[in-house]
Amino acid sequence: MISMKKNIEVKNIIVKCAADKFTPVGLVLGLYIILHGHLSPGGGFQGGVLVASSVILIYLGYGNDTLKKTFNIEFLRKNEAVGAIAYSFFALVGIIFGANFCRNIFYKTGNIGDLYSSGTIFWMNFSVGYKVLTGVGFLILLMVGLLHSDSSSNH
Amino acid sequence: MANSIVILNTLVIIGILLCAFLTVYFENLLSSIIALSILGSFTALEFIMLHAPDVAIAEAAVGAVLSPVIFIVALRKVKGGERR
Repeated sequence: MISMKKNIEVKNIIVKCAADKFTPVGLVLGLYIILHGHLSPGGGFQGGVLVASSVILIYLGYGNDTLKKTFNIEFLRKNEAVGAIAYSFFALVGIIFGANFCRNIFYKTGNIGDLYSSGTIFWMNFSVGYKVLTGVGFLILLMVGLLHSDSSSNH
Repeated sequence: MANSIVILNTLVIIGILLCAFLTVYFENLLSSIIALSILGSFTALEFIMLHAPDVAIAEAAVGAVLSPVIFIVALRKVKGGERR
């Protein structure tokens, strides 16, 4: 335990540099997986979880204070509902245009293999990804905040 | 070629079983959580070998990153579960 405390500054620098390097990579990979959900493996859920894991990296590198300054927890809580409403809306578009619920329409635009070639599937993937990244980010922020509020009140 | 794939598959399954055994075997709960995280990584590899990259991404994100973090937060909240 004592030898761990001696090296804690060096460890902080290493963890902070790793968080600096891996957070943009995780964000770009997650957004790529969300946006290319109809073309490549993955989709809204997988990309959303990858984007939300950058919250963990920011917490590991910069601590709880920066996390509270960076993210607004109420904003995330409200925008999870916005994602659910957006998914329901894009699913209801199928009924409005004379087909069943969750039906893919407007899929004849663009060439096969393009980014905008899948009609409403693209937007449904995007809204699922938005819901998952705000929901999982809210979950992580809630648990980290719970941890820090409890430890500060006990000591 | 097919033989090497079979050998690799067997090694990954042995790794999964070993990590599952170590998760139950360790008495230190932090070691147990780390073994569970490695188990998630091996499971993601196995999903890639079974041609399911879709599930593999979800398993690598949830099983190797998200659930160990939640477990570690819970472990720190009960302060190791030993002294009380």
